[in-house]
Amino acid sequence: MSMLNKVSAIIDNTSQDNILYKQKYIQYRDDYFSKVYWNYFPATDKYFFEGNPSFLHEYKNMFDCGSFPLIMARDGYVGILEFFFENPKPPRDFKSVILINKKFEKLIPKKWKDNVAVYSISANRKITKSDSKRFLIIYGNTGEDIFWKDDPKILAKKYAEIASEFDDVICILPQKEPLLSSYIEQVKNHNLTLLKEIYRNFGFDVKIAYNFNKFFENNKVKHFSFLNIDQNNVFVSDSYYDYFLSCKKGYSLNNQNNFSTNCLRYSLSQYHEVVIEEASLGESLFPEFFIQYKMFAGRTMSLYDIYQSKLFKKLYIKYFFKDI
Amino acid sequence: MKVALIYSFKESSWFSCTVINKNIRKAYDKLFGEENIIHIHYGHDRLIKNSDIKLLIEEQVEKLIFIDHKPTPINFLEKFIRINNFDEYNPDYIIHVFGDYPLYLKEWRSVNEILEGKSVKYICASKKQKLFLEKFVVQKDIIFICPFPVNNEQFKLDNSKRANLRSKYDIDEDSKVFLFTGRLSYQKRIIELIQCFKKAIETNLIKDNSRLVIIGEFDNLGFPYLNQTHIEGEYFRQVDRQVNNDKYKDNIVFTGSIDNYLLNDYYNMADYYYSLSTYHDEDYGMSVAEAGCSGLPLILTNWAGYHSFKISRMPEACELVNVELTSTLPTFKSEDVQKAIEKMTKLTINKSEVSKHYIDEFSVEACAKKLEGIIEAKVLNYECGTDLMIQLTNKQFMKGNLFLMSESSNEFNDLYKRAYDVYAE
Repeated sequence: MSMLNKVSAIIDNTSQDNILYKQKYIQYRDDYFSKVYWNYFPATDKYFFEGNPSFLHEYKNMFDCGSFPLIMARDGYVGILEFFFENPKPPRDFKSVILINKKFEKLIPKKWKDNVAVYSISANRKITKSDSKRFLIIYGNTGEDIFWKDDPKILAKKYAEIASEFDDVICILPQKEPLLSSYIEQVKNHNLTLLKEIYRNFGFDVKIAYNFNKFFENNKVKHFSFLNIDQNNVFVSDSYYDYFLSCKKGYSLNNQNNFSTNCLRYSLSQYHEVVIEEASLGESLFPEFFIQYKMFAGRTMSLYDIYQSKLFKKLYIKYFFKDI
Repeated sequence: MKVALIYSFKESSWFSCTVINKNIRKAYDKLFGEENIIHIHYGHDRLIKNSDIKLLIEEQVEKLIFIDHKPTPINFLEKFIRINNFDEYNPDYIIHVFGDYPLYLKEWRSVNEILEGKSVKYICASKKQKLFLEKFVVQKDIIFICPFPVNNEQFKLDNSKRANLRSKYDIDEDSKVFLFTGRLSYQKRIIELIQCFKKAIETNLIKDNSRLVIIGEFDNLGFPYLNQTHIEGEYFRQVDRQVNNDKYKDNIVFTGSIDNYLLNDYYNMADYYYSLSTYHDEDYGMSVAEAGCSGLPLILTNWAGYHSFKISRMPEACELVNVELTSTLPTFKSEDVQKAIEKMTKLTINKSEVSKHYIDEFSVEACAKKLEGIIEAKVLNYECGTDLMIQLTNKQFMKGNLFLMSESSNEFNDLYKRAYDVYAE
């Protein structure tokens, strides 16, 4: 049975017992994750799909993971790295399939080939870029990782260039203490610098909001596009922000649509879908990452340590950074 | 005569309530004339300006008319009684009641207490809602019926619009199009709507080129009365699984959200409006009224406010499917839906007649006339709420969930049946 047939069969036969968020108790792998989860909220907020879109830390351990036949990891770079560093091969008798965001396909160890597939989120044909030209929503958490490659000055300039094609624009930028950052990075106040640069590039009349949920409670937006400033996907690769805006018929400027013909497509809303493909592990970078981990980190490197590691930041920029 | 319309100047998050509010204002404009109406903002933050209350007193406004669904008049009235001297100024209170009434019973109980001994009229949008409200208000004669008005300048029959959208969605000229518009919510029974439609094709009641066009956005409300909450996107996935990979997939069209100004084109493209909603507080059905005014015959559940759409002027334009109140969910039989579809599709119904009769009943003008009669009616001063109101609000205070048999049960208690039985009768 091919991996896609296996995934399809799991989804077709899903019951409530197979859905993580239908269970009474969810135990995070560690207590600190809960703080980070809420720090990134609502990017981390829940949504439903039979594939269990969730964070790998929402499973107590591999045994817990194994009780769900399909897990769609919403983790970004650091969560995926930590998971595979801890589990360079699946435990014996591990039957579940883990879906990894296609962007990080190359982090998957080859030994996981029978237990992984990759996914991407894409707009469906009901919604086109041309329908959504009037209004642009720029949003996202302004953690340090947004600026791993480009500083706020460069980013704000890029946003302004993109926004110049639209009649109207709003920036929704929650101002939160970046919990994952080291103290040195925290005091740099990247988020305030970004705001300053946004004002400089967009003009002082630019609309800025801080609370994503309140903005949408109080404003009805239609025919809009959206740009998630978290394109590095260091902590979250599948953001609830994107899910929410896609469900509202927004057009994602980060939209991808080049998929192999051999794929599974499941609608997540009337306007967007998850596309699942076989993982291509021929060019896996995992060995290179794993050697670095073993050489420099030892066995106890958590996702929080990975986040603050200069080495893994450098590797990220080398292999995964993509310009807007 | 000076009157005040009290409502939130900010649009409601419930789109139908925004439309209703606008149309009620139009009806009152016709009735009293714009120059005699003072508009008072009473928004969801529940703040009321002292200057607004003073204005009402200075102008000796005769009637305070509450036309919004949220919030209840409670905070307004509390502030009003603090500032006003009732020996000198005693206005009438007219309150339009919406479907969310049972969600705020505690507040309505307080409204009742404040309004005791005053001139009060409640206006419901449908007969069934009046019967429902009678369970909570002792004096039946202070409860009136006036439908939520339809803007018939927007919603009207226009045969020239039939072909355009059919071509967009690749629908044959001779295909029968069944249309649903509204929130795509668990209690709106979208899955059953689809299943019954498919069955009608399977059993050859309707041709296999028939289409079910579903307009609207999904929500994740679930069924809060039974503690059935949905994760965001869960109901969408349930519905999608019904349709995807099904042999009748092409017969079902989900358009997503449609701009309000385009809705009339969709009504004109369709042949029937079709809804099997058993939403627990379906006090009316704005989209049903709009569909009727646009000339569409209606296939509906006989649940709550939908009952009022079978109008005496043209009863054949509306087929109602029986609904039973069970211990878990208002239910209907698939066979009864099939019968309703069969009966309706066999009739030759003149759409212009439908449009004419529904406009006569539900247009802004028609509703303005009904409101005139209500305003003129003499009523005794308000007395008090009913025992059921007291029982329910006490239960709500003690337990939170009003209608569950027990915390561990997923069944309704007796209070639910006592309150909601009239919706299914």
